[in-house]
Amino acid sequence: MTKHLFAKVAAVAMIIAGSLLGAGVSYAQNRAISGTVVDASGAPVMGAAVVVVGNASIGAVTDENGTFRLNVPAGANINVSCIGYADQTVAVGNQSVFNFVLQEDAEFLEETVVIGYGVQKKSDLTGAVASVRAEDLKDRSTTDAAAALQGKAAGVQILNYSGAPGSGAAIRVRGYSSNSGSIGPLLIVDGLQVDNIQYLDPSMIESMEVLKDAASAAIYGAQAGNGVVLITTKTGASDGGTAHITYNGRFFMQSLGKKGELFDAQEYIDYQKYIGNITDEELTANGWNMSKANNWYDTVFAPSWSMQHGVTFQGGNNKGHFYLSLNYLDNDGIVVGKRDVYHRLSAQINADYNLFKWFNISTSNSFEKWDRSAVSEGSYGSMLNSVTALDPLTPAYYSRLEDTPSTMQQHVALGDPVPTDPNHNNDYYGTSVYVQEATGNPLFQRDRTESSNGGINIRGNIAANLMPIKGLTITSRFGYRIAQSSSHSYNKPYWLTAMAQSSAYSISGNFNQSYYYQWENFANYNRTFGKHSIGAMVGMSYIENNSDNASISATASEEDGGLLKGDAPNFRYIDFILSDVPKSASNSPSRSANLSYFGRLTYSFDNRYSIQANFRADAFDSSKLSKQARWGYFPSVSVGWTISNESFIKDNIGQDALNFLKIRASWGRNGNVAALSSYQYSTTITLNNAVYQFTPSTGNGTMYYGSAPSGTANPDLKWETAEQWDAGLDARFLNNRLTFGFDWYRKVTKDMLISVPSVTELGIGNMWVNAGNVLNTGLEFELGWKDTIGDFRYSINANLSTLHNEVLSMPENKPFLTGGGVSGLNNKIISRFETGYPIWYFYGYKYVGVNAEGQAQYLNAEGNTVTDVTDNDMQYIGKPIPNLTYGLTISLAWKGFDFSIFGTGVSGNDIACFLYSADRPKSNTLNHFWRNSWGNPSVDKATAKYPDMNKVASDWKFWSSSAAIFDGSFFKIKQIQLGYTLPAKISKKALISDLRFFVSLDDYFTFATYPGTDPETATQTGSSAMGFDAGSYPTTKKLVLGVNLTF
Amino acid sequence: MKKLYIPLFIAIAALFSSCNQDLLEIEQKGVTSIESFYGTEEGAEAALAAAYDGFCSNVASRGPAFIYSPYRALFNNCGDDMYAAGSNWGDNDYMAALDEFRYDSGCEVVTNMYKGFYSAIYKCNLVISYFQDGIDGNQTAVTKRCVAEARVLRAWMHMMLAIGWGCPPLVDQLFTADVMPYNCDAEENDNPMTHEQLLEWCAKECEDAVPDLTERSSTGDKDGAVKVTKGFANAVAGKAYLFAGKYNEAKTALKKVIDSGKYALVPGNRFWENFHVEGDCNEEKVFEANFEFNASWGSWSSGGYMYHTTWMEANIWNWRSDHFVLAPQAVYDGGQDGWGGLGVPKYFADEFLANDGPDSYRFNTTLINIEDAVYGMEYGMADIDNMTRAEKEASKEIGIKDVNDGLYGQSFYLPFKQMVRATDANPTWGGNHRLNNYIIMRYAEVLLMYAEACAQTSDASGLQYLQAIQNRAGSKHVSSSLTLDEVKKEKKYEMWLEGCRWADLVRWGDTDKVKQAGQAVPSLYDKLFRAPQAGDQNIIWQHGSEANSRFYTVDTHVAKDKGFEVGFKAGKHERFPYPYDAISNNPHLAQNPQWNDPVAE
Repeated sequence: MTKHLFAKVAAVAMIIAGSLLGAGVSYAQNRAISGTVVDASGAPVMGAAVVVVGNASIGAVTDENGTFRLNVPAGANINVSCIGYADQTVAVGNQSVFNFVLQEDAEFLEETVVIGYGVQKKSDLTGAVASVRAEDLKDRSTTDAAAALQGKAAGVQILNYSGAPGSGAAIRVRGYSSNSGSIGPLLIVDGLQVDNIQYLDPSMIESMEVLKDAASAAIYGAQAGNGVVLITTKTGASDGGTAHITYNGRFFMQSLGKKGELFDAQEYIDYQKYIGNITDEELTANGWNMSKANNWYDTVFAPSWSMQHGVTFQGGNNKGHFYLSLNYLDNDGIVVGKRDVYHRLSAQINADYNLFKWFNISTSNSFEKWDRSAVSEGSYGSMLNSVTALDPLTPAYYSRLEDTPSTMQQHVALGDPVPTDPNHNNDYYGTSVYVQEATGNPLFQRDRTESSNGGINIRGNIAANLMPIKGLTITSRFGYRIAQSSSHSYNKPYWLTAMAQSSAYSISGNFNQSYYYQWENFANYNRTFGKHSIGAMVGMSYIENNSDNASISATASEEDGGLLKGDAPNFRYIDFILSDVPKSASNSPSRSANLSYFGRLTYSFDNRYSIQANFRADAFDSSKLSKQARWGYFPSVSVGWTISNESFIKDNIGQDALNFLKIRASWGRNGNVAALSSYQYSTTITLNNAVYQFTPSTGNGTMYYGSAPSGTANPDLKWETAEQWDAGLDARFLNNRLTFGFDWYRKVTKDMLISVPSVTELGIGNMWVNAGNVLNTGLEFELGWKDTIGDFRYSINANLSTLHNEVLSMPENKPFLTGGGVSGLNNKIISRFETGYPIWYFYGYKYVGVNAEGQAQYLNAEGNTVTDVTDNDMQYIGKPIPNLTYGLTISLAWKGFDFSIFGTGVSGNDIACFLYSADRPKSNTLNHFWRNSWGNPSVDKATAKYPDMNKVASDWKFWSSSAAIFDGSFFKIKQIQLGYTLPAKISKKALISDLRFFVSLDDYFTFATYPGTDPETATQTGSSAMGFDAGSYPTTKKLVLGVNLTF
Repeated sequence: MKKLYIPLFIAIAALFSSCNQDLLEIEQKGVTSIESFYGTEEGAEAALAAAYDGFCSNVASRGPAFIYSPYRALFNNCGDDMYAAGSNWGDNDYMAALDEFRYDSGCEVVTNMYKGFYSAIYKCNLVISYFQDGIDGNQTAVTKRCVAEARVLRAWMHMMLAIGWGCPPLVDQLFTADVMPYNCDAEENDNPMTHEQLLEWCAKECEDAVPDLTERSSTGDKDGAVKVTKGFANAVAGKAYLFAGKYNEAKTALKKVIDSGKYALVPGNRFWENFHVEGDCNEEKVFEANFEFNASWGSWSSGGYMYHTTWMEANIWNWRSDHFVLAPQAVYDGGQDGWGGLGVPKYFADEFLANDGPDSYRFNTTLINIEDAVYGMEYGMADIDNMTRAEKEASKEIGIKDVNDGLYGQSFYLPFKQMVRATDANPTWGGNHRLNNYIIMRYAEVLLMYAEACAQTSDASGLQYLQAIQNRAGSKHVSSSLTLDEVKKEKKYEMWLEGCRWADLVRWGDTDKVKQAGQAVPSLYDKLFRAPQAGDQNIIWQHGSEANSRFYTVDTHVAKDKGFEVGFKAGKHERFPYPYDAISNNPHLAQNPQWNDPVAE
């Protein structure tokens, strides 16, 4: 197989070399032939070599339309070859136009799939591996590799906690497995473990493999319990070795997508009057008229332009390949001003070279420089929370002091630092006379802190492959990561409202650096003896991570003599802190390490029966586990049966009906070590972390330090363990036009790490134990269709996965855990982690409707409908995890035009809407409740959905009930893209081999019933706060204009 | 030749893997082992400092995972001398649920106080268990003193647990993690104790500790006011005996405090100091948790200032300034505005004023008339401060502007004793971090308890101390004879908002007023902004009529209207419920009567 590959690559290389030398243009008795090369589905085959048999210097390579032109000697035979297809040879004869239909080469029927310390043909896979190829990613205009996976693979859910520039997406593979926040998959890029993949521009990616089942992931053992994502970046190998320079440019206009349905000024007034909070007298006294109405969405957000440029150089021959990609992103978010921006400059440099037939080396490296600034979101007091909470009667600015609220005037008179906006005519920030808001004004929150945050990351690896005997490859691979980042911030005293004020100056600087390395040595042996194919792999890995950080901060008030030697911007550095101001500083280098041995055996018989076994032994350092609990063992086994290769199928069913059918099953065990943190298993005395002041004094009190045990020890602590069964089916029908994949899995995560409280009266705090099980089970479907009708090509790919998530058991003395809730918003809905329910479900009062008096009615713990409930009546009222996740991609191409539409959605999940606080009934909120409430003049009382707002506007229980839970299902058209590729004959004149323009609408259309902002980002970060909407940065909709240019 | 690579490779791999188990050994930073730590006098001092820290963090300050000091919230809000007020009904509901007796065993304040006490007791037990036999069997002055201080702190907490919950578990030693203690009266205990016996145990612990404790050196000794001394131990013993009904024993213990001469009432003109930073460690303080600024402190980290200030007390109990046109207290409190969570019942203010008279230092420190607040306090704005009284009375530039709720939960006197003054907070940490010390025992309480114990035993010798309190207060009423009623009234005024009233009225059975809780909560309105409306219930004008008054109150009962059961229920509310969390963690814990927990499925 390898020999064939080289032959084909060589054929193309010869042709290129020939044309570069000007050869092949002047043969005397030549005759011109032309034609097209297409595959079985009718799609053009680009890069196929068409050569004269016996004289390989005469040949051509097909272009992107699959066409070729060639002058051939009379009587010649021509051969068409292309990687992945069976060769064809025909005599030229008198024919001048040739249309080749290449059949896929059985050996190349499918691409190989990266499976961890090796590759495997997709047809031989016995585990559940989702593979996303460069073709699937190339038109995605997202800038984050994780986000590019969204909707592309069944069983893989992408979570966008925020639409802010530079906020990365999170990946969940097959559900939610733990009470810890660390339930993302292990991320491996070109063999290197990385902590995120946000730095990778999707255009640099050759393939992404998601090892979903435990058997596939088991080769990564203790860290693979939440799946593994393997990413391979591009090499210069594509296009048969042709050298290319590619430029990709994108300009995107971002704007606010789905807005929350808030009260406008008039409706706000009507509502507040109805609930008795505002009178006409008060409005008159405050000088209100409708011209002052303010829509905070319009005030805070405005469309902004961002851009991205990428240049790629790639080339190669049969000795080696080279790939260099440079990428620059300048993303300015939609908050007015430049306070939400993300810049990323990245480079990927990959190279490999065959030094000898038995030895090659390769390296891949990435460089990333980033900086980011962000506005606060998702919590009480955050800028984005106040966008929805501030009333629409309050202006963004006051230009005259006498127009400001009287309390602001009072504090100006008292000499307090009431801020003004230097970029807005030095106007006072508008604050409400109606609502006491923690932020005062979102624009001020935007401007309040001067901060910068950025860093550099270098990641890469170097590998050497030794191939001493046939079938054996010994690999030694060294991977590294070096990261440096710093952040600075400065805050000044201010007085905006009674709730939004500070009398302190503060400054801080943080510096982090880390280096990481992994050294892996492994050997693969693969041989085929007749009908028997065997494979074996054995290896070891050592990983060490070192980090160091320093942080300095200081806080002081004017009354204490101030903080800095000067107030001008050029003094706002740690260097200029007044010498008598105490600084707090921190520094503590840390190291972690782990050591692993692993192996794999594969055997297949006659391409029909396959079996694979994986094993890994992992040991983690003493900061995570005690010496006696250090080692863990992770086995797995999987089997496959390719039914389509059985003679009773082959002989009876034609290729145009069934091309491929395989069933497979697997079992495996993995771990989740990320939930372990430093020395949880031990109890020691934390020295001098308690303080009392035995000697009263003024000024800085004298500290007497005390010490106490850190908790209660559990030396047997170990990682969480996941065991998973998987059964699946892969099939292709109708000349490979129809593809179908199916998987069922059942994954039980055991030995969950839970911090169990001691009996309250013992007062000794919590102890970590391994207890509690979580089940994730589901079905995954993938369906694809591709076909060609004349010049028209199209394909449809759909995937869908179901998820049933349930906590199976919890320890007896910790029957449930309580998680999120949003502090400060005075809502009693919290998340709970409890046996018999999905993880982190919403726990609150069960609202069941309104009675004839307009009162809210609830279901109490006994199941009776009552108008009053106590805390003991709180119950399950919803869950943030969807039952269904799906994606749909449709691609069409006709001549030079291409069009694609891609959407993704979830259903069955709920959102707990915290965009209201019952103790601040004058805050703005969704108009949804009022518009459907008993007592609203335009609502029929008999069918009203919600109670009389007069009765519940300040009632915590109503707002902490299922009335505040909304269906979080959505379907979002992530992208609609139209592209046009200039005909080659035009572009070639400018030495351009490929020129494509496109326009794309990204995240433009969202279908959802949630009346709040974007249901996708209506959440807080972290699993226990999933689905809590306290005002987050919504996904922006983007109009993208782009160009792809290849020389 | 090539085949040599295989053994070579294996050799390298073997070499690499043979040494690297040691690479997995990483020493933990900043810690030491338990064995070595508890073996020295320095260890005893450090363990004791951790016990005080635990006391600050869990009892005097914010408590576990709770924003307000649970001690103040729990032991004051159920009393008949305050309302849990706020912007409107539903605001500050943590406290309002207690105030209206519609809380349950999930109540955060109850839960956090209970957890807080036992967390702090554990820190005391670390000192006691590791050092009660000294170091290697040898007791030293240091180990004895450290153990004694920890025992008294622990006794005070068990006493407050007994007062709050009746028969809570006695945790008098370090238990292993598998122990599940029983209520102190459960027969499964080796020595079951009734409620009274638990209180007596607390008293005896204090008495036993006294010989090993230091004595406050003089009334000017500040250090002696912020740690456990003989004086505090005797005061706690006295209080525990008093609550156990052992009046003679109470007298004996409390008399020791009086006779020590190390404590005195501050003069009347300095009465206010007791509640502000100026009065920290003064002659009247028997024990208070010392809160001080230190610029090096972090906020939330262990031992951070969040755990050594009363965070958010200023917010919760300062006046609701946004319901005023201008904040009357802005100059007084340095701009620290509040949520108005504390209200004063009209009957209480009227009775207090009638008793003390308008010139009483005590009354004027404790409460302030709404007119004195709006017209009398400095605004810091010349055009308003320079107005005449008559101009102010007619001005809409000041006053209560909120038309819906006015000042919810307030009558004509606003609470003043608790109001943060500008000096009580350090500006660097912000005004919501109150830094004046957290009073656990004030000498006035000692005198009043002594007077009560005398009254209960018909011993007239206590009268002088009751009179001393009254004279110092500048009250126009000075008792001529010692009766229990005289003591009760005096203690109600003197100790307002200091965690005494609720426990006393349960003990005395004076629960008539709290049975009415939630039936009529006043809102205070300003007629210039809101005229009385049809449907207003029980309109009361400050000076009798609309013509001569600007301010009036209207009663509401929102909770009742919503169908809540409100008000004190005899046989149930005398004791707090054991928290749901504690009950579900400890099957040995029996719930107090009538507190029905959800059936554990």
